[in-house]
Amino acid sequence: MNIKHELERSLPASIKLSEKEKTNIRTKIQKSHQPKYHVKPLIVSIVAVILIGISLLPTIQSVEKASPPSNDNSMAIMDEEQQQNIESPAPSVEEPPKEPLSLTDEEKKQYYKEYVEIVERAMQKKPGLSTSVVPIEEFDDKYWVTPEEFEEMIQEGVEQHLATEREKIDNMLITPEPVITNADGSTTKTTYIYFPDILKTIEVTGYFETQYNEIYDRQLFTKADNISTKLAYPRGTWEQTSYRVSLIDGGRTYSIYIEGNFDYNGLHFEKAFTIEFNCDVNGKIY
Amino acid sequence: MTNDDKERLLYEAMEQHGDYLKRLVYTYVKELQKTEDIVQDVFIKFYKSIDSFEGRSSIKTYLYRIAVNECQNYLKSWHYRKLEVTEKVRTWLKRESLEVDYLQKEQNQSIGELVGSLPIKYREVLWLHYYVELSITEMADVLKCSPNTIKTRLVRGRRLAKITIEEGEIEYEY
Repeated sequence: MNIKHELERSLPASIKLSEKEKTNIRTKIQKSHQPKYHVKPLIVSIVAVILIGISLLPTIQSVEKASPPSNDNSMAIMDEEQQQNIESPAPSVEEPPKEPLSLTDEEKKQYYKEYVEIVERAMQKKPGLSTSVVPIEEFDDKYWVTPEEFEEMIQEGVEQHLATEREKIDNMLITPEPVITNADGSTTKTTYIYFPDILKTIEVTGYFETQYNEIYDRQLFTKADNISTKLAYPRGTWEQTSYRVSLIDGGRTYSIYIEGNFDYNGLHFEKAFTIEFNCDVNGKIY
Repeated sequence: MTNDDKERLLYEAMEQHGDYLKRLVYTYVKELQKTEDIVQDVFIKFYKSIDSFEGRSSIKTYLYRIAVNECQNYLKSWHYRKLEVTEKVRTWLKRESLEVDYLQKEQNQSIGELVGSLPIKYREVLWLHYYVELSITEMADVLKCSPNTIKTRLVRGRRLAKITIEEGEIEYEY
């Protein structure tokens, strides 16, 4: 009995580091190199300016001290500035801890209602996050913030999530999956949707028609229909709830906005994403 | 080390260890997409840290140490724990119906399945030893613990996975 083979048998078939993954790794490494070359001279310049500034500071101060004050007001202003400098030195990186809000029960209920509305508004955009407000009873006094601050926090969270999604998808699309024309005439294109820590591969299929346009002397889209989606790997379930097609770029591109629900391990996510199908001069869809 | 040298090492590492490393990562995270993400991070970290690689261990051990570290970090993340807890709760809810088949299922489990169901500290030593074929010393280096700890885990892991070694031959023990 070969235990190595026994162990390998317990894995899904054909887990291998594909050529695509190897290419992605190399590309990502190359990309990570590029900015350094651009940033390096900039950093050196900034450091140089700072050093020059520091070295000139005593000279400037001595010149200022030596100059007679032009009038009493300017002197007064300078004193005030110096006073401010003493009282609040260079801005600190860490903000001082904020005093917790002191709220009445009525105010808490009002704030809580606003928190719920803020989260609902953010989730209506279906960013692929599963976020809700914990029951009001679980709110510790130190957690209360103004609705404006709360909204800012939620926005930051959503933006951070979408930025991570963009980065992960860009990374996968370095070597995109080929667009497939199916036997029934439909076209399938692969893209990715991101939920915290999981990037799911999703296949979008649609029926497209193109027609020759004499004015532009090329094929252009005329129709898009029956847009459907499915997960490439069935872990978790995806249910498409709606889609909307928009013909853009003078008829060369269909921008398709798709909404759906993803359920995984008891967690529920609502997700909206957009994918583009393009047609070339000969009507080939990509 | 020049960039060409580093790229050559990266190429060799991906060619020689890529498949095995990806399979090992999968045994930790059990999610294909996450496995791919982690493997990518491992090779990028490997490339970026080649200069500081002192050569006290082999490239293979060094690479697996990065991989195990990445996997363990992922398993500690709140998101994974949230999913894991949810999975457990779902399992508890289903337990009643599963119990009927439990004994039968246990009888039919392969070594791979048994190893897969073990706590991570036993699972990882069994995979590293029998699949990646690392020695006790190399495993101690990868897992950052003493060779004696590795030996103990290996013995317990074998017992739990019902693996016996008799005169060099490995067989099932039911």
